[in-house]
Amino acid sequence: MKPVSDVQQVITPTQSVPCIGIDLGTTHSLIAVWNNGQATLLPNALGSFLTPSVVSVSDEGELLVGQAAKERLMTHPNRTASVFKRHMGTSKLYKLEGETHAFTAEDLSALVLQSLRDDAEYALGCSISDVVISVPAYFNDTQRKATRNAAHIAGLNVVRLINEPTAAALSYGLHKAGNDNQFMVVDLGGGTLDVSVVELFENMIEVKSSTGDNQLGGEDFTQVLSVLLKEQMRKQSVDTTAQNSTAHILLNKQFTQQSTQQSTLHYTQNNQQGKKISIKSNQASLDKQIAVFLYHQAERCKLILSQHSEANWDAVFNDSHYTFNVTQALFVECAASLLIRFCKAVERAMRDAHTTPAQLQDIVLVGGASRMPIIRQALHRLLGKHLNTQVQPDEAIALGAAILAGLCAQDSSLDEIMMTDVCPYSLGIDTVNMNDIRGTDGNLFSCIIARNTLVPVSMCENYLPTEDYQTEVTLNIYQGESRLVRDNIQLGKLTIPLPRRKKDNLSIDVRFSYDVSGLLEVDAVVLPTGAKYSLSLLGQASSLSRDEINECKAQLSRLRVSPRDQQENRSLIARLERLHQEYLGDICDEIQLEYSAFTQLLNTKNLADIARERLRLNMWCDNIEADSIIETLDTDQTVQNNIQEIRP
Amino acid sequence: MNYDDALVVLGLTPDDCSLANLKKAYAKGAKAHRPETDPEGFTHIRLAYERVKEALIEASEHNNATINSVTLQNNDTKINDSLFSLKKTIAKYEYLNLTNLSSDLIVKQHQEDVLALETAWQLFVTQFLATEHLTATESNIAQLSCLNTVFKEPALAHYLSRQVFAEKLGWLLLEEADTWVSLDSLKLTLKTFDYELYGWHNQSWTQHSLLEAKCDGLREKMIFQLNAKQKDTLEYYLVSPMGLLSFTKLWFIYRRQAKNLKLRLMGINKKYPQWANLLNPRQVWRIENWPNSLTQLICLLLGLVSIPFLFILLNTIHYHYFSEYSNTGITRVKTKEINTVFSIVKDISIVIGSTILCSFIYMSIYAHCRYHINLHYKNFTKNINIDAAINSSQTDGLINTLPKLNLAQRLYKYINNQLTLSFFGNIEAVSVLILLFFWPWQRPQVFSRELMETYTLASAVVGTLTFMYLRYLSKLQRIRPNHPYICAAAVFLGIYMLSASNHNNASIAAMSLAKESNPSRWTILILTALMVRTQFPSFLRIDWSQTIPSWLLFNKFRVLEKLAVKALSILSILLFLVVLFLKNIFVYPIIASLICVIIYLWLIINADMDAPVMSLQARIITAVAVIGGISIKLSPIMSNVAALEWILSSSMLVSMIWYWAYGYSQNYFERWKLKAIPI
Repeated sequence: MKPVSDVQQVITPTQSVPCIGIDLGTTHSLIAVWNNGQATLLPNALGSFLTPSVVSVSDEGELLVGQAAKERLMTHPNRTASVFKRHMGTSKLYKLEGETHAFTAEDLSALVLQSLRDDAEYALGCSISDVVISVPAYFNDTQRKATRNAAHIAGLNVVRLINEPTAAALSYGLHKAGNDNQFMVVDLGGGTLDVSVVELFENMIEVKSSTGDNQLGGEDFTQVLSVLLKEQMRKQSVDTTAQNSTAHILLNKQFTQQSTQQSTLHYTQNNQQGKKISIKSNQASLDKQIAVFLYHQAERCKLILSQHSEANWDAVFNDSHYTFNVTQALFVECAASLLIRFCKAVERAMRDAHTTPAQLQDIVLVGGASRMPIIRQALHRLLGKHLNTQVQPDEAIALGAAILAGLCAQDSSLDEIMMTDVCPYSLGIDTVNMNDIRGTDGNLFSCIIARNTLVPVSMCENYLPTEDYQTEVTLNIYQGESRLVRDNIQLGKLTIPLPRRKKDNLSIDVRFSYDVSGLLEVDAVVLPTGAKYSLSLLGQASSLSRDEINECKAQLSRLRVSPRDQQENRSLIARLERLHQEYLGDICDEIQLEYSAFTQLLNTKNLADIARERLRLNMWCDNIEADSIIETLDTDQTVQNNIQEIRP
Repeated sequence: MNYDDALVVLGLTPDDCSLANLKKAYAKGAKAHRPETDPEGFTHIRLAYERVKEALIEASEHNNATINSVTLQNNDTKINDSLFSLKKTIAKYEYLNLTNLSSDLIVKQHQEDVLALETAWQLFVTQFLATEHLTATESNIAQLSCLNTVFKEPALAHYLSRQVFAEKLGWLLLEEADTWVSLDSLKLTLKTFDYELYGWHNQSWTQHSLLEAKCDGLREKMIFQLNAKQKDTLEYYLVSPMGLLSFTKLWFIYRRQAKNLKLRLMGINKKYPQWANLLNPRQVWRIENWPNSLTQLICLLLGLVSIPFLFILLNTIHYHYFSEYSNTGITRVKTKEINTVFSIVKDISIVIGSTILCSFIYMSIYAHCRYHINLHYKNFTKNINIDAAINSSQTDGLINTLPKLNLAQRLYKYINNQLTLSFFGNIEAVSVLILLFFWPWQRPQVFSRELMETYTLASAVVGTLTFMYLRYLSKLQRIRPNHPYICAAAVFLGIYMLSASNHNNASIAAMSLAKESNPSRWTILILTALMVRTQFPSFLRIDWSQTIPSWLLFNKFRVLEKLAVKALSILSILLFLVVLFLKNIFVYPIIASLICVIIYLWLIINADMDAPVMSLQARIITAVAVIGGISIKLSPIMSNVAALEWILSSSMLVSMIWYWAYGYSQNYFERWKLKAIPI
């Protein structure tokens, strides 16, 4: 962690309205500004560019966002919410202990955005409102609307939503502008995968196809690992029955009495022997703690495996020692299904772009999870190409979003640059399904604008009514790829009155016009009469009304958010708490001492002393963590070389 | 927008129109008409750009095609120039991207081999598609040895098997295994192919499972046949749609040898997604939705269960409205006519109702399956247009598309046929079974003779029509309708008719029986059970209390004769069953025919005693049936038997109708009413 410095006014905007781009990620979020012909990242209160997308409720009932909240993920799992981007646009509610208000993913995202906004305003010294936010290319309309809503609640106006791989392509392409080039952007973030094929010529950045999987990300790999570790943990707890600490008994009880107890949490997963583990317990709280502990260890394992071919480490949970061992090969085996999904998305992007690996000149990897060697190996094997590791995976998207903000603001330094994007989903209407004999399938999706069509686009199809003398027809507009409309997402509907005629003498032209800002205009013309009906969909408007947004804003403003100047102290305290739980013996006592000393110091309100002590303690914590890190067996030279390659 | 207009929009002239210039012009135009501010202008420019780009690519293709035709002529090959251009070959080669594999392994020699191979393969595919049968000519062997050379290079084989050859070789194996399997070169090729195909996809695929999966049918039909004869249970590992097709085929051919042949579905999509990838994950056939034997059984049971309910309902009405119906089983004269009419109506409606019900159940399954197959087939072919693929500039268009499409079409056709057949087979069987099951022994008291006659006639007509239809279907699809239900129904029909001493119908049934010459052991068991079920009541039904006095008073010889005929019929059936059990006899059509003739003659000798007026027609029809049966049995050795069979079937139908009409016109009803059971 970087030491905190005075970061106020690091950037002096030359424009009255700064062009802001935000990467609202699953695990981390970033904010950047387009300024003086270049995109710059803005630091948060802790001086770091990465703000964890985690929200927690402190013991005092204050809301913590960012690093402080992330530290509490392990110590207070019931009071902390993370990875909520995956549930954007759903009605899933996050209930945090100590807070009566239940949050939706939108609310939580709004809190993160608010925190980012504060950071940016602090850094720029002026208030901001207009932003470009990046979303996974494969986000559907509901999810995009939810993102817009979150921004509205946070008091931000979304000028444009940009697809994440497009943003990465933009930040990458800006440096390569002038060369004719075709490259692929693979964005494997915490929760989503996006793959785009981009062509670059004559300062044109043209996205040729965008595909992805919005349920595949680094988190899934972490989950796979935590299931693996859980099995290892179970084995050890069964083996060492000699120890009789309470936690141990609890764990054993939990693991062994699985068949009889009522289920509250249930995990099943094939381990490498193909044996099924099923863990059931009433002790939801302990379960959640174990889950968080395992998650933490899985993260740790992922980190080690990105540098070594084998990971061996010890960890402590409820006063019991556990030794974990995971090899790269084992990881690949367990994550095989995820890797297959990954490869499929890459193949589809190639297919949609009508391109071949030979035609690709570069593979750009963005998103934190793309650092995993197994991902790189899979990609390398699939495409037979060397991968570009020069791009900073975490930062490219935010920078790209800022560049787009600059483009939207028609910044003079970007006059020569032009970018075109594609619509990631097919758009169309429903048509009667004549084959649906049993009436269970419902209507068919008739595609008007196919996915990966360059926008802006306007396309027209002709449709007929099903019955003679039909009085009206309803065009239900859908987005998606499924053959049946019930599996796609309905965007709206347009009812058209028809003149009384035989069906053969009547037809309707339906035109879809989709523009760069995501506005879909539907025009329907009844051919014999020439009557025209139209409908505007998607686009800028948030799905919530002004009142609803105000209500959400009011609700969130009632919450006590931890003040920005307190965040460093908060996150240090949370970090000490976490370390205290993670370590045993003397270090634990030491941490306890430092913790009480620091909390006492906080009460004195002596800012200079506090800052000094905080700096010292942060470094001290860094040392503890560095010392304990993992004695791996690996001394392989090639792996060491790989590390150099992966982490420049 | 045509080409010239597009050039004008972009500000280009035909002379300076190159790809680089085009891109420049497009970039310039697009920046002048930015999509944010001027979407219409941008769309216009974009359209022009795409049009010109297309034309440029087409032009370059054409140039290369000309070069190619020259090259190919040198090689003395007859490949269609425009179809397989050198350009495409090179593009394909690039697509394979061999240079990026572990490049030190691949020497230039091999790269050249790949090029040669492509051409050879194209030829192979064309021939294959054109003829559907490929003999082991020398040129084909040369092509295969070429394949073999390439497959010896591990890295290359690895790549090729994954990219290009998987399905094609699969097809080759499937279609031409008999011809090719003896060739050593192919065997070698196949071994490499096996290893690579499975090895790449999943390491857990052991060589063992691979052999099991492949050799049982897919590769070596001979081995399969051998195994099928020797083993009790043969498991067939279905790992791909291709395998399913081969299984379907083999099942039809060898199912008698391997009675317990089992299809083990691998759950293509879930367990081995790599196989699904061979086609496309969205288009893998959903095999789990097909009707299995369990659903068929359930439907049959449902159909049968529905019948007693109908009975109860109708009987309730019957008893309610015709309360004179007494428990002694004797109907009073007063209401007899109404009763008879009602009985006819009742029984017919039961049969029709049940048949319709069963049909509906089957129909729904059938429609469901068909729908799914249609759906997947459509999905599969939606984006594949043969012409487009051939003409397309896409490098992988032709090579990957044609065999896939071919595969899909054949699979689709095959499965559809199978479904149609089993569907009609089931419908027919169920209706015949219903006809037979639910009448005489249910209520012998009210079952008048004319009703019986009508009934048997109706059932015979239905049976004949369905058999004719099935025969037509089987002609159409070159599959013998050896459905066990049909066999059962046919044999049972015969037994029933014998027991009812109704010779003309018996002959029809026997003819059907002769057609279905190979019923399984199960069928025979069912038959035996049914025989016991029918024959015992028919014996018990003889009204001794009436027969004995009448025998004493009037014609004792007649009664004795009647009993003798009954016994003979039963004996003949038993004999027939014994013969059936030694069913290998039926392998030889002549023996089968002889048995049929014996049975028929027996029937003719035991002339119809109850209806002497009818006996002439009965004899004629029976004789016709005998000839028909023999001719059908001899069909494997006679030519044009089908025509004869058609004539016989239709003539029988006509004569039956005539017989029926004749019977009624001759005061049939009156005569039988007098003979009805006296009070």
